Amino acid sequence: MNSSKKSIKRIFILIILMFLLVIFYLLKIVVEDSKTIITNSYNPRINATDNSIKRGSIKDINGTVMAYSEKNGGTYERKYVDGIYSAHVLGYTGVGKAGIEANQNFTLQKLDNETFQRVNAFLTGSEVEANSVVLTVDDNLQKIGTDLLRTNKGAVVVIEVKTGRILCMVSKPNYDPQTVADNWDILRESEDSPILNRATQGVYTPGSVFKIVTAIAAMRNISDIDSFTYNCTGEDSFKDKVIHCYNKTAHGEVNLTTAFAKSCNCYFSELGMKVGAAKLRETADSLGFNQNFIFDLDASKSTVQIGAKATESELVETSIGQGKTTVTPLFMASLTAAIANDGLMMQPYIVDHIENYSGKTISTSLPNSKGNVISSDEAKKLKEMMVEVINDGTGFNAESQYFQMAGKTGTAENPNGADHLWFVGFAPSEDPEYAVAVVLENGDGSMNAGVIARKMLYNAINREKNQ
Amino acid sequence: MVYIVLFLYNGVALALDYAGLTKQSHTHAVFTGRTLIVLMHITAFLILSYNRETLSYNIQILIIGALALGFIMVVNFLANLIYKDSCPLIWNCVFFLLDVGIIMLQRLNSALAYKQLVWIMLGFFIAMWIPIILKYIPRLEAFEIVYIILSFGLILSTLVLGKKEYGSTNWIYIGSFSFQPSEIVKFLFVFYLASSFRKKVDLKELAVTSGLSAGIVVLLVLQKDLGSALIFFLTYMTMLYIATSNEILFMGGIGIASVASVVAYKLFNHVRVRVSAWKNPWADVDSGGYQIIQSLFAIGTGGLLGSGLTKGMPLSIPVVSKDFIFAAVCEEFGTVFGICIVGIFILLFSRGFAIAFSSKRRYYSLIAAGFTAMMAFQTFLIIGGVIKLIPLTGVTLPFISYGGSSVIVSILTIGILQWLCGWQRALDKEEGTDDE
Repeated sequence: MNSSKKSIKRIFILIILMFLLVIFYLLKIVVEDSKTIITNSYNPRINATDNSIKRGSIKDINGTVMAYSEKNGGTYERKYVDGIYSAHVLGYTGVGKAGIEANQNFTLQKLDNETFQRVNAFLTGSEVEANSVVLTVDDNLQKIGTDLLRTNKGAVVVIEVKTGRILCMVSKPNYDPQTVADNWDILRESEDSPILNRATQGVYTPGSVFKIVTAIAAMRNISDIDSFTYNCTGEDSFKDKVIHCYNKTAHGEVNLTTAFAKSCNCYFSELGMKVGAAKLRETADSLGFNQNFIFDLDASKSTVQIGAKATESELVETSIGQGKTTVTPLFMASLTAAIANDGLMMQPYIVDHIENYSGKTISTSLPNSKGNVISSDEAKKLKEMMVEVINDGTGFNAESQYFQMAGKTGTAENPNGADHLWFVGFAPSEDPEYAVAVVLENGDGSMNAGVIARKMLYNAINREKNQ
Repeated sequence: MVYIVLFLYNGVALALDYAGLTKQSHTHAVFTGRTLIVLMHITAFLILSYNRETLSYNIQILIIGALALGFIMVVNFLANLIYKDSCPLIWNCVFFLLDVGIIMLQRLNSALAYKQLVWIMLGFFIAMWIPIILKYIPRLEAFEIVYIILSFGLILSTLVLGKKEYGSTNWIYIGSFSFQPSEIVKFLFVFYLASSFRKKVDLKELAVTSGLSAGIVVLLVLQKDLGSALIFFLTYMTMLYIATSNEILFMGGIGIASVASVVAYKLFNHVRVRVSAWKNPWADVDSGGYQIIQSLFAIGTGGLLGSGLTKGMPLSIPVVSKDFIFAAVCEEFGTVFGICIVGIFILLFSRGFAIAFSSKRRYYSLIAAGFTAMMAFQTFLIIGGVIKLIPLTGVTLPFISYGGSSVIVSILTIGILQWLCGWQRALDKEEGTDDE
C-alpha cells in the first residue's frame, strides 16, 4: 500500500514536469519564435486590418511622414503623402497588403502602453495609436530617382556601403498607393506589372555587370591573371557558340583591367573557359547567388544555374552575364557595396527604427554583416578596374566633375525586345559612401543608366548639405 | 464602448485565472471562483452577441448564453446535492473549462456551442446517476472479464460499422447518431486494469493483462487512432507502475514502446507524415505541415495577451473546434490565458491524484489514479501537439473541445472521481476501518 502511494506521487511529479515543459514551450513560441514566424506570407492574419485604432505612420529617415491614418467617421483611413514616389516601398493596404504595410503590419497595429492609451482614450477622448515605422529611405531621393527614370521601366537602388541601409529604392512603372483599391483590376492585369517591386523582385539578366563575378573567379583561380592577355578581334569561336564584342569592336591586346573597362566579351569568355564552370559557380555561390535573399521586403533569389556538367556554350554565355543567370537590382547594389566596403558585405535593410505613439524609439535596427565575401585585395583590384571603366571605358557617361566614380556598365540581351541597360557603381572611389544599381528595361538610348547612377550618387552624397 | 468591454474582459479573464490558481477549498474562495466564472461568462457573451455594424446585441446568442449560465448554476447546485462531500474545487475547474469551451465554440460556430451544451447536459444527466448506481452495485471489481470483452467488442465494431474521419477509422454511425467507441473503451479499460491489479499480481496474470492491453493498443494503431493508442498505453504503464512500484517493469515498458514506435514509423505512412510535419512543418506548408503552422500562426500572432475575443482569425485553423481549440483560445484570449488553462488542468489533476493518494481501498486508489493519469496524458498529447512540442495526435482537449463522446466521457470520469472523493470522506468521518 505504501509503495503504491509513493508511485502515485512520482507519477504526479512526472505529469507536473510534462506540463511545465508545455508552459515553457508556449512562452518560447510567443516570446521568441513569433518574431520570425508570424510575418510568413501563409499567415492569413497579415492581411487583417484593425480600423478601430490609429494605424502607425510610415516615415522616411528625416521624419517626413509618408503614410498615416486619419479618422473619418467611425473608422480610420490610410493616407499617403506623395505615395507615387515610394509606392513599392510603402506598398498598400485595403485590397490585401504589400510592401512595408504588409511586412510591418503587426508593428503598425501594435499598441505600446496599451493599458495607458486605452484608459487615456476613454477619459480624454484621445486617439489610440499604434507604433510607427521609420525607414532608412530619403523621401527626397525617392522623388529624384522616380523623376530620373522618367517613363522607362526599371529600378534604382541606392545603398549606404558601410551599413547596408537602403537610401533609395524606386521601381517603375509605379502606382499610387492611395488609389490601389479603385484601380485594382487595371493594375493587376496590366502587362507592365506595375505592382511588382522590380528593385527586389525583378529578376534580370545581368549582362556585362556579371563580369564582376567572372573577374573575381579569375582572380581566385588563375594564378597568372595579372599577366594574362588576349588579342581581341571582336569575335571568338567556341564549340556551338560564337561570341561577339559589342558592335563587333576589335579591342586588340587586352588584360583584365582594360578588358573590364572596355567590357570585352571575348576576353571574359576566355576567362570563363580557363576558370571552368564548377569554379565559376563556386565563386557565385560564395557571393550570395542561389541563396534566399533576406530583406525587410519580399525579395527574389539571384541565380547562377551552371554546374560542373555545363556545356561550353553555357559556360561562355554565363561568363559574360548572358544565359540563364538572373539577378535583382537589390542584389547587384549589395554586391557593389561590398566591393566599395573592402569586401565586407552588409545585410541590406530598410526599417531604421520603430517609434511609439509619443515618438519614443522602442527598437532600432543595427547594421548586420554577412562577412568578407570578397578579400580586401580583390576589392582593391576591382575598385581600380571600376574606376578605369569610368575614366577610360564604357562608363564615361557616369564621369562626375565633383567626385571620382567607379562602376560597371551592362547590356543584357533580351529576346523579347530592346536590350536591358545596367549600371552599378559607387562613389567617391577613394572613400566610398554610397553604392547604386540602375536597370532600364528595353533601354531606347534616350536615357543612360550611368547618368542616372551618377546623379543619384551626387544627390545621396550631398544629401546632408541640402537639408 | 467596445474598448471598455474588452478591457473589462481582459481584466476579468486574467483575475479569474489567478484566482483559479490560488483558490483553496474554503467556502469563500469557492464562492469567489464561481462568481468569477459567472462574470467571465456574462462578459464573454456580451462581447459575442455584440454586433459592431448595427451596434446592437444578438438576442439568440444572449439566449444561448443565459441558458448556459442557468444550466451551469443548476448543475452546480445539483452536483453538490447528489455528490455528498465531493471536492468543490474539481467542480469549479470543470465548470470553468466547460465554460471556456462553450464561449470559444459560440465564437467559432454557434450551432456547435448549442450542440455542445446538449452534450454537457446529457453528460451530467448520466453522471447524476453514478452515486446511486454505485451505491447498489458496490463490487465493480468483479466484472473484470466483462470490461475487457466489451472493450474488444467496441473497438472491433468500428471495423464493421466504422467510418473514416480525419484519416482514422474510429467512428461508428448508427443512423444520424455517431460516436467514438474508443472514448467508451477508455472507461472500461481503467476499470479492467484496476480490477486486475487490485490484488497482488503474479507473473501469469501480469502476462495476460499486458497481452490483452497490448491487443487493444495494437488495434487502435491499426485503426490509425494513434492518439488513443498512446493514451491507453501510457495509462496502462501508469497503473502497472502504481500497482507494482517496479521501476524495471516501467522502464522496460518504455523501452518496448520505443521499439514499437520505430517499427510503427517504418511500417505506417501516416506515422511518418505526422513525424515529418512535426520535425519541419515549413518544408511542406501546403499539406503536411499546414495544420500545425496555422496553429503556430494563431498562437504567435495572438501573443501573450491575445487579440481579444472575436478579433482574431481562429477560423483559419483546421479542425479548430476539436483538436486545435487550444490554439484558438490562445489566439483570442492570449497565451497567458492559455498557460492558466494549463494551470487549471494541473490543479484538476492534482486533486485527482490527491483522491487516489488518500483512498484507503487499493481498487479505488487505482481507479482514481488511472482516470486522472488518462485525462492528464490526453491533455498533454493534444496541447503538446498543437504547440509543436510533440508530433500531433488527433485527440480532443478534455472539456473544451467540441465532441459528444469526449465531453460525456470526461464528465463521467469526473463523476467517478467525485464519488470516490465523497466515499473516502464519508469513510474518514465515520473513522471506520478499511474494508480490505
